[in-house]
Amino acid sequence: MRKPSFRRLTTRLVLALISALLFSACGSAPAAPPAGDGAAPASDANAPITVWVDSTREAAVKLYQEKHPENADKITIEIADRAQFPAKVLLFNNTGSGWPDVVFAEPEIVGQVADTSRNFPADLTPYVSQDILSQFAEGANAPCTFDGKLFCLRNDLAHNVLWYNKPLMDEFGYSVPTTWEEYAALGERVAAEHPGYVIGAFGDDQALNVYFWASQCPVNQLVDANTVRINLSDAKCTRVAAMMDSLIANGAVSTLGPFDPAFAALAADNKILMLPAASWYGEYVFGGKADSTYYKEANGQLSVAPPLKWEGDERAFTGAQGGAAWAMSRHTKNPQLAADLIVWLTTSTDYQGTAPTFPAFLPAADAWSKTVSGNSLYASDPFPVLKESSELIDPQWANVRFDKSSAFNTVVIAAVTNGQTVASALPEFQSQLSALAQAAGYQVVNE
Amino acid sequence: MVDEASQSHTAPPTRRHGRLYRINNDDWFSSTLRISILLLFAVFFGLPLLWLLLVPTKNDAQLSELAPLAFGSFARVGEAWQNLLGFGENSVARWAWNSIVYTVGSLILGLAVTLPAGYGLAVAHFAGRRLLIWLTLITMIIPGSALVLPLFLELSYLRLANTPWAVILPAAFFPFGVYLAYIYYATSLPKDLIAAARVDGCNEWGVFYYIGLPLSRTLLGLLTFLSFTANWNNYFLPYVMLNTSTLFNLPVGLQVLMTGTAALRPTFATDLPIYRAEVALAGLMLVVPIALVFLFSQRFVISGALTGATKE
Repeated sequence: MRKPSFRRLTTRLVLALISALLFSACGSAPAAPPAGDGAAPASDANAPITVWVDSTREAAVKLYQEKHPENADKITIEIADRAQFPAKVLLFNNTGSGWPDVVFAEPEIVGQVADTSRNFPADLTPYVSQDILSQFAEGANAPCTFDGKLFCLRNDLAHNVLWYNKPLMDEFGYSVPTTWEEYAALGERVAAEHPGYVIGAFGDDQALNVYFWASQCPVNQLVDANTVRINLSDAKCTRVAAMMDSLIANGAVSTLGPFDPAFAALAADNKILMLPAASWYGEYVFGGKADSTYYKEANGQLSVAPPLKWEGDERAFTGAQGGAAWAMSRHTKNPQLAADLIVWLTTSTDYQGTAPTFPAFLPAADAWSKTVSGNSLYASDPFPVLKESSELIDPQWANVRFDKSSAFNTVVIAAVTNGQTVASALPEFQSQLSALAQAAGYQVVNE
Repeated sequence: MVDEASQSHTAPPTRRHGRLYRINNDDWFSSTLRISILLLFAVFFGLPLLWLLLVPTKNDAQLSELAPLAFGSFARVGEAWQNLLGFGENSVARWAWNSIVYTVGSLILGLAVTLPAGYGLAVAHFAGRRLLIWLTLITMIIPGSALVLPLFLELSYLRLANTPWAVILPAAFFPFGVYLAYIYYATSLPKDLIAAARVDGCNEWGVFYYIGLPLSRTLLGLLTFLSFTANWNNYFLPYVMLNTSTLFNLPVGLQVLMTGTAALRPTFATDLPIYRAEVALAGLMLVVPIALVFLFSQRFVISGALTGATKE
């Protein structure tokens, strides 16, 4: 028998490969998902659902199961890394299965999976009554709304407020500022009268959320779904840069990040006079416990003031550092249960009353107030200020498909660390943001 | 002549002495230089490991306050261990067990395929043998991560995605092992020995089982170490294949642990007691098994690494 030649064998192999590829193409390859329409899924009241949460929120879903034993067996909880979720959705879209039914994630991530290639979230509008929606903090669900569709429901808010050390302020005889101009003037006084004390931090991307967001600087303002306004030469950006350059130069604002060990050492030395930062800093950063980042003891030293206002603006605006939401899959077989779970998780005082961070649903926030009101860390009850400030988040700061924080770190923070000014870094930041936005498919408006 | 002779007799020792002195001086210099360079590298690579070993002895505040190489307390290590075990109802222990199952499963399956395949390519001469060797070489140079996506589609089609088989089966595919086994058998197995076994009545399987396998202990040790290390550290494949947290292996699980707590993300507000010390301890959990396997198989790893280097 004649042995097959190498060439013949290779030809056979190539033919076999082509046949296999053709076979797989004719098989059950899933169809590409339609455009991100958030269409309501078909319903099966007995279908099981899978919930993707982080380990902190696992207890919340278990509490729902405990309170709703009739649904408990239908719910499977998976602990997941939500940063990887957009990539996973692409995989599931390829195979046509595997999507979780409910996901806990930041609105920014929900925005990413709402694009036409992923088309994951369902519109929650038919499942959430207007009465419930009206009781969320004003603007809380704005980051969840895409083209008029409610793709998620906010779990918590992480709005920035002005934390300050009350005994130090009293000792130095300073009044708590109400405007950014007063804040800048206070910084000049602190630098002159009490050098070494700080009133802010400008050492990582949180500075973008704390200072630029509060000034309504057009870093990422959406004109429409695919057009973004980026204009860092706007007066609302340059006023921030001028103020920060002055405060950094005189040392009143540190160029360390708030989580830099050297900045924590400043706190241990009681050198932080004031810090504009997120609402959760009180419990989780200042702390007042032996293992807390800033204060190791709770001596009534911490107080909070509402976000500052620019004198030329009609009212105060603030930014946020975090705050997540719950989204429902448009592929779920049991949308009623998934939506019921989401509404319960965001509105129930049973869970939100003891949640780690400030609830976005205000009646639940009232129940949550007891978690901070009795804390001896605070000079006075911080809750009224936290609640009032929760409705001041500037809604123009949009969830976009490009990473503005990394660009801020590599351009602005790097410049400041090298002794340059914030103002001098803005043009480069502008061009990097524009390039990133265009790469993400946006049309950029620079006016 | 006598004088010359005596001079010529006495001169060499002086020269020799001078040369010896120079050699000793050179030796001292070169050995000092060598030891200094080695020490420098030892410190460069050893310090981070030493730091990692010391981190679980300190709490989060001590990590900032104490000197980098200061020792905290053994009690803190116990506390960190308890915190780690308490994460997500023994999730870390479950992930460690999964890692063992996936690694050992892939290892056994991989060796069961690799050794006979390499042996067959080395000993038997059949049509397409050269093509198979070429294909093995080509698959060797394709990065494993490049195959993960098509594998995911294939295993999803077979309804094996999100099952342990989705990790074990692809990880058992070990073309480098096949090539190594081929080189080993082709260069180390005497042809006369195989011929003698055949004369004594052994069939091909018998020759492999009674001759090839017992003579490949070094190869087995090397392949075991390489396969174990690759599968134990495997992140991308399980990350793509698995969605159920109870099925995660340690690398994927630890990623969830790190991103879902404030350990490495201080902006993450949570009450979970997982800090940097706990993450460091988890990192050590990942490293220690590889160190142990290397310790037991180092003799084979070192001698096996020379497989095919010389032909006698």
